[in-house]
Amino acid sequence: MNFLFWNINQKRLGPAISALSKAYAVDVLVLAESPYSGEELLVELNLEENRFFLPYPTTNCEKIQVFTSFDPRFLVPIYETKRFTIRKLSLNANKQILIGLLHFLDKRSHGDDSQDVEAKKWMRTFCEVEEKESILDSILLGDFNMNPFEKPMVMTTGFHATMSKQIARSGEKTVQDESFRYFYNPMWSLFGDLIDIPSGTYHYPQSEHVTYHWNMYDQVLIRPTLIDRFHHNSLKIICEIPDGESLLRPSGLPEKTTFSDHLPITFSVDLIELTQLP
Amino acid sequence: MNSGENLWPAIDTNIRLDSPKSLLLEQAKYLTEGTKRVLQGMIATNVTNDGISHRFLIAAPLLGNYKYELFHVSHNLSFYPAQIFRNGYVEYEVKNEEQLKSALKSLFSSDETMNVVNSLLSQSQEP
Repeated sequence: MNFLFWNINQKRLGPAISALSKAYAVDVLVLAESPYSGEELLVELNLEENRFFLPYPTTNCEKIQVFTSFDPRFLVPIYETKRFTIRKLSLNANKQILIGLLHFLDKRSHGDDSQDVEAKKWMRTFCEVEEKESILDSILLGDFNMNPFEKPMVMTTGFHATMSKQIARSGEKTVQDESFRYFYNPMWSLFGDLIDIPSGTYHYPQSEHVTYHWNMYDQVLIRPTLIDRFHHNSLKIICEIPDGESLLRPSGLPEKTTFSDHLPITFSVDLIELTQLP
Repeated sequence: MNSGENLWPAIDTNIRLDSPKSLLLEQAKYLTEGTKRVLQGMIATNVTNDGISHRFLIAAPLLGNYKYELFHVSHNLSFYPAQIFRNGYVEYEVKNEEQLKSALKSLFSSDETMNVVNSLLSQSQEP
């Protein structure tokens, strides 16, 4: 199952999203900061081929839009806030996974301490839903507005996401007699420019003494039980539309006038065929 | 050496202060009744090192028990001051029960709340 996430920064990028969806055979398309209504974008996405279904009607998460190449009743929202939608993906009668799609609070209006507090709350809610649904296989995907190395991404009571598959596979970490389940964060592997440009998903230069320039705000986190199903080579920061148009300027920075200030990410998870509606 | 003298004043163990939670539970019940039980108001409470937090949820039992988190109220061991967070922002800081009631009234009649309630009601009643 192929996923694509893109914060489109209120830009009307229907043709570009459609081309990417076709090129990457996207099954689950997740957008943040979409200026479109579901119906409006569906028309643009399905202009050449009927790839996507109309989004599931029962959603009140204003910040995230989800399109699927399969009946949306297989991916039903079960808990939402304005910025966070937790959905249950029913793979077959016996197998379900949770997918949390989010647009986390940004740094301009929320300082480090506020992000810290909010991350704890969001994860508390997510873990409660996992427990209530008795589902251990989960994925979190979205614009976290934080880098993978920041405290709320790493700490046990936050997203608790580690860069190492080996550590994640140990399942959980116990601190002061309390256990916290790990997420694996594969985005760490895409930092820097050893393999390819770009060095992150979001470029933000600041005239401060400490600035990272490139940030990895757009991330996917995977529970350890799904690591073996995750296709590591499929994880990409996309910097080109299939027709050859670049999402980057010649300088290597995002072409944010025509496109978004964020770059899309895509990945694939080996999931059993959808066989039966819940 | 023990003095044998009780220094505590008389403590009334029957005392029941109106907590933010009791007010929220009452309002959740009004939502349930007001929608003929098509929707359910629910309060989920968490006690952490950061304090006590009550999430106000609207549940739609006919929509696979879908839940929407409208806002949450946080306070420490003393009930007030309490902060009301909506969508990650502190929307109200209240110092007493009257202010909490007033804030809740505004929150319940806001466009966001009514949009969610109307949307869930409509979809719950679709054939």
